[in-house]
Amino acid sequence: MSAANGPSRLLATLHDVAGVQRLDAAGWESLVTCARRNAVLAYLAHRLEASGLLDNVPERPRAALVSARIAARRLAQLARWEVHQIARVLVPLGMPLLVLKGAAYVLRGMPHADTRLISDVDVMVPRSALEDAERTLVAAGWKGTVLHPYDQRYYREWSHELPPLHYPGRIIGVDVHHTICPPVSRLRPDPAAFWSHAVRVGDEGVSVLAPGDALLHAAVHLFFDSDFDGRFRDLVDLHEMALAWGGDAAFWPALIARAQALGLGRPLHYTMVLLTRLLRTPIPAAVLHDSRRFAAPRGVDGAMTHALTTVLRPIDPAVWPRRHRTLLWLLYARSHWLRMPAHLLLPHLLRKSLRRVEPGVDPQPAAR
Amino acid sequence: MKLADRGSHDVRAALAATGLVLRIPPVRVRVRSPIAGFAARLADLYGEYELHDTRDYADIDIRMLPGARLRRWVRPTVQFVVDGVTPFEPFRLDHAMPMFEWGLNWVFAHRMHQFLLLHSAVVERDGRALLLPAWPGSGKSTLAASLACAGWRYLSDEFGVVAASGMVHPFARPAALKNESIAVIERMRPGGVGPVYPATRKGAVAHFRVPPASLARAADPAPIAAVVFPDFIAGAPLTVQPMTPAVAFLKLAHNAFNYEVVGERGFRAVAGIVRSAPCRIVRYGDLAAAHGAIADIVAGAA
Repeated sequence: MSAANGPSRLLATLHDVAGVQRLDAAGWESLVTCARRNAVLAYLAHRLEASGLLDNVPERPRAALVSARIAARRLAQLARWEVHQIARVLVPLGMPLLVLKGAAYVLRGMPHADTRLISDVDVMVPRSALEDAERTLVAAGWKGTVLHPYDQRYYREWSHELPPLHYPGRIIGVDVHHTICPPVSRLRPDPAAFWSHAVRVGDEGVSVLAPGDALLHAAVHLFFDSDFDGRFRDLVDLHEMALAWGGDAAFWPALIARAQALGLGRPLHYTMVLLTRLLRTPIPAAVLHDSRRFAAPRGVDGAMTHALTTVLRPIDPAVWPRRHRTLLWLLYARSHWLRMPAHLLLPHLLRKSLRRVEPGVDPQPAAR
Repeated sequence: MKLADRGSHDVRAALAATGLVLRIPPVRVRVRSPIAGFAARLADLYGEYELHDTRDYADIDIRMLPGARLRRWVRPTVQFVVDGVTPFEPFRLDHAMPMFEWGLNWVFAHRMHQFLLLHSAVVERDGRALLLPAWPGSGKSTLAASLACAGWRYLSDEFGVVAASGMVHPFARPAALKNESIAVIERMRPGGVGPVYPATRKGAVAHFRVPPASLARAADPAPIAAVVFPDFIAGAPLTVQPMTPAVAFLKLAHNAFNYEVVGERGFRAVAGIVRSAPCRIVRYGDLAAAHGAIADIVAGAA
């Protein structure tokens, strides 16, 4: 049993799925375990299926792949249904409604949409409609999450979304946003620019971001978020978007111009570098060259791309406790630096670290 | 080779190093742990289980590891690590075995969607399987263990593992007996129950050792002949009530682990069960009386 090289095996398989034909039993176990740990087991099943290789997978790993695929399909179905429920109450008010991220991949019918472990539906409404949206959803039965009063205030004053909403008895939550970045962060793309390019999907009055904007949005969320732990699957999303839309020669120059206009060049640059390095996504050389203009000064860029390559590689399930915890903490601190001014950030981090020693509720999930 | 065929020293050394793979059909479970006390308890409860080649594929990979270093001196704990993830808060170190049992159930319920997983105990006699679906506290584990003591084949105290064929597969694991049930089953089969773990989150817990005759057939599925919803009430006289297929359908489906996940396949499987198998509610205060009623129901279903 050599599970130690799970991450390399997973990456090699995603580069070229035909390689699985050479795997022995131990190789399959490390591949399946690593894919599951990184939330891409259903995605791996989809890739094998698309290449006509799934039926030839040995029985036990095939059962694991098929099981993961069934669970992910169900989540995609629930996400689609949750969007329907939200649209039913918000659209009749004449409220513009944008569906973001995972649920948007489902509505667009992207090939990997039903391989993702969706836990929330993210929607965006105009800032002016935010309170109305929350009130309407709560009146229709969704419940706000009970949060620590400090967290409530953090969400409402400094964040770009409402505290998550949940309809009792449903496993998919709802996050209502009014912009795509926190309002106090240093990235401040104008939400109106996203609204004006949005495209309608289906006949329920719901829109999704234009393809390039969707990619930029996913890039901001991956590279300017606080948590880089277990985010390999988000890189896979970016890879799938690049594959789905990058075949159109006009896509890339338009994307770079759009990133420039919205001030989102830096996350696009990291996307290009990380996709090429880790997933070998086919991005035209000229585009790679072009996006380098968004890089930070050389020393910073070198350190950041090295750090990102380290933490965004698939996590190795064989190693416990997991590696790179200090690096993850540094990136966490960096993201807060980027999203909050120092006079807000320092008290915030202090509150958060003090909270860790407060007695809390037992978060143990129900084991039977 | 069975786990019991390896010496206790050997088992402890293997678990601390590359691990052992237990055959618990339908899965193979890789177990690793440096905790000597856990090794002894595992060897005790799973001694009669077959070992599988550790170099071969295992479906589930579990490590039972000591908790955070500082805690080891004050109140030592154990972590359940599956695929490098800890889905649960640590347990106290001497509760490693109940944690392994709960954890393995949790993992099984989350990743075996090729089957419909009913929340039910399962026993079988003469090639006819009996589902005992119920909510925690209704006595299904005790009833299943007591039927196993009375010569029925024990398939599970927790999972009705239903394949697309409609057959129910064993997942023959130690039954988790709680509180008063522990002494009841120990009286029926002296030595059949492992050590008692007092004051777990579910009260006192002890594990019923799966009888060797049931383990010998741990890979054999059986057709479902009857469904009995047990309802233990101390001192209650025996009553047997029929349940309409429609009501039985809802009770089975809503209490299943993954009915909604498996979708149409789950609907067809549950519909097939309630159409072909008689469904009854058996209320009882006495195990012997319940056994008699159950034998009649299964015989009548022939």
